[in-house]
Amino acid sequence: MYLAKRRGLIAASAFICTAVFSLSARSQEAVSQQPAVGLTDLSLEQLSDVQVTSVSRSAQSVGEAPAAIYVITADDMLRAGARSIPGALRLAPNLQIARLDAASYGISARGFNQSNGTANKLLVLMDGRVVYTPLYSGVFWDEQNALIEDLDRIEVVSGPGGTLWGSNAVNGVINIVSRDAHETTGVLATGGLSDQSQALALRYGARFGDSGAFRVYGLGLRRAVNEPNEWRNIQGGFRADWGDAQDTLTLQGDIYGGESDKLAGQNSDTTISGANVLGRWSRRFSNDADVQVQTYLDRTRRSLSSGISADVDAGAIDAQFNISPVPAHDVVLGAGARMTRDTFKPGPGTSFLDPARKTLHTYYAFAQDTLALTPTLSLIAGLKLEDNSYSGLEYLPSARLAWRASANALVWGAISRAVRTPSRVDTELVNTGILTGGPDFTSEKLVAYELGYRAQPSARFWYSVSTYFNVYDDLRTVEATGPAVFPLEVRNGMHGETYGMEAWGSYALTNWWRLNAGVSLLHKDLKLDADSADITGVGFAGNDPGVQGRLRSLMDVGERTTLDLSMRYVDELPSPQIPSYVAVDARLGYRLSDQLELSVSGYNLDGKHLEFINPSLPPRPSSRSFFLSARWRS
Amino acid sequence: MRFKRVILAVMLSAFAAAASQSRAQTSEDQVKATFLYRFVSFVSWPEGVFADAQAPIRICVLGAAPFADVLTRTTTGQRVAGRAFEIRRISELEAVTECHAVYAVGDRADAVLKATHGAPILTVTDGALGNSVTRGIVHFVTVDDRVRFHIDDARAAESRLLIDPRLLSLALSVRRRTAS
Repeated sequence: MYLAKRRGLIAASAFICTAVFSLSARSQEAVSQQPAVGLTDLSLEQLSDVQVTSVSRSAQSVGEAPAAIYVITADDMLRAGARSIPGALRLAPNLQIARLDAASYGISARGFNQSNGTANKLLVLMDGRVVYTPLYSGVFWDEQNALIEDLDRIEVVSGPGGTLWGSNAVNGVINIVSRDAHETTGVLATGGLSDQSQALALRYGARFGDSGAFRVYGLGLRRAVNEPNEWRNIQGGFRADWGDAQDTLTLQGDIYGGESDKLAGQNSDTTISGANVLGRWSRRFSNDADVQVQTYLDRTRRSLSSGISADVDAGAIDAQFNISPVPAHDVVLGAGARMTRDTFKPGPGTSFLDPARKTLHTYYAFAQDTLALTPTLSLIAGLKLEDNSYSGLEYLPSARLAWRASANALVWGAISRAVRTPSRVDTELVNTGILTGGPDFTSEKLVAYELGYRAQPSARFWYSVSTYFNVYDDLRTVEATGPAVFPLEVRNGMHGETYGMEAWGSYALTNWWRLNAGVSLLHKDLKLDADSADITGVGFAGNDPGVQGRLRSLMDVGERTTLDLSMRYVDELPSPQIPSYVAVDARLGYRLSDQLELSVSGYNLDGKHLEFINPSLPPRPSSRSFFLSARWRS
Repeated sequence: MRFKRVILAVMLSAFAAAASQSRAQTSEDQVKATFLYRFVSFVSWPEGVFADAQAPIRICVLGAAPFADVLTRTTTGQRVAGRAFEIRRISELEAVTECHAVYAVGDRADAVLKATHGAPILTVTDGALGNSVTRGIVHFVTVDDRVRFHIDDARAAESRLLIDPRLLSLALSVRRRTAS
């Protein structure tokens, strides 16, 4: 074909003009002096069809966001062979991720990860839909699935984001963003299998009318880990986008069902199902002001074979205005509400929620101003007021300073306050004679001090360093109510500090080989209040590694082949104790044609390692597996 | 142990293959730079924007130093309708108003769109760098390893720019200008 031939020519010219295998001084030139030979002769249509490599791209710009933000790009996820959202999140150096079994994960930022998968200080959004459950403020990761190929990016912010995002954005925010339907037209079919799992997904997208586009997709998967513990899930969904001179409109939805088997007698089987639909409308006014309104409904059903079930229906509406009323000021104003209604059915003899049904609300309003103090120095100050069913009015202020020290470097600092508001489990979980709930439980509070630096000293190299000092108060404790110890009560009897550092960077050795590295350090110093009668101890607040590091190598081996290796080190966990480990993943991708790519991924090539122990279950180590996969797109 | 050796062998052979081939694919930046250079022929600026018939087309790059280098090499010696190119790396927003086109990435894109509102400047933003919220007149995205773009013709109209329908027809999506 003519186009293919042209691409061959381009590749050939690129070949001639590229320094060959010199990783030292000459490679600097290789990166900075690739001439676009031949490209300028192509028509626009041909240019749209030139296959590009992303390995030499400086993936993160030196943005001005004065926060510890890491963006996982679409390309990153595919190259890493990510097949689930937690799998993709492993790419973020500022998260701690530990797998519990085939479908459950503990995911946290800056500590407080929970061995039973109930970490509760992270806010997770999928296309603007809040996915943490009002039951315990954590995320059921088995309910969060997407066709990875249709994701645009995942933004991972470590540190509080309460002023813009609201309560629960205490230690971090994860924002999962799917692609505009205009970008996903055509057919995509992808499937793969290993000895432990199978996966299949189909997507079809097309344009309609003058300015619309839609896609529909379906996916199914079966996944097991080393133990006879298996997870099966099917999901389908759609997204449609329209736009004209003033308005853009997005409508999207998903429906899913899944089940997981665990060994008989050790834990019950879990069945989940759910559906959601979301609409987003934005209008741009000619005076450079815009408004966005978003609303969604979200229903989740979860039941265990032991008889426990939890149904949650959520609905939310949110409006946001962006205006520049006077020069040097950029103002964001917003308001919204989120309601949830849940029904909890206990199993025989287990703890129960009292009342079994409850409707909860959150109402909020916020304002934030970005003020350009000088051309290189800006102040971002904001306040969110939020009212919730349990702790009433909460205030979430923050002040951030961003100083552009040079065109390629940014220094930033921030002071912010965030809270985790009470959930059902904190306040109303009762087990007769053993636990009386937490009638006086109030929000857990954080004041965070952050300082960071980001720079891109050369075309090949960029890095980011963030430090934090977090002061927590009113952390959750489980306390004795008298000399008889039982019944226990949930209170706010812990306080303390954590501090640490997150650093990551990326270096292109040549234009076909890039290395990414990241490290996070965490020190926790938590104490019980003098009057606390806590029985679980400060270790119960989180089981976190003091050191975590990762190294990733991305190679374009010739025109058709990509080879990616990643290694992550996780320090020993204190309680329950888990030895440190190094996990190695690899993926080799081969493009057979423009339409078809074959790949083989190896996970946990280091062999067996344990990432987490749920004290009530037998240990389930992650083990080595290989996944063969094919992806076809029209 | 045997397994580790296999892994090592695979890595070494892949490395050797990379070394012997090293056939670099075209980088995203090269394609985007070429697009930007070609776009100029499809955009009409209002009268009076250029001092005279020979005045160069000034493209500014904000917050993306590597891209500025690629763009400079792409446009060196090139002419469109008798005009040469002048690529300028800027770090101050004020300088933006002297440009005919501006490529802005990251969070600065937002500020650039505000600063250039209504001015006859072709604003170009980039979703590949993790910002697909802020969209200029042209917004690059990478889909299936190919560089594509969205066009906001309504914003172009506000900026008194005319975009050739042939370019519009190649966009993934076009935000139409209101019929006048």
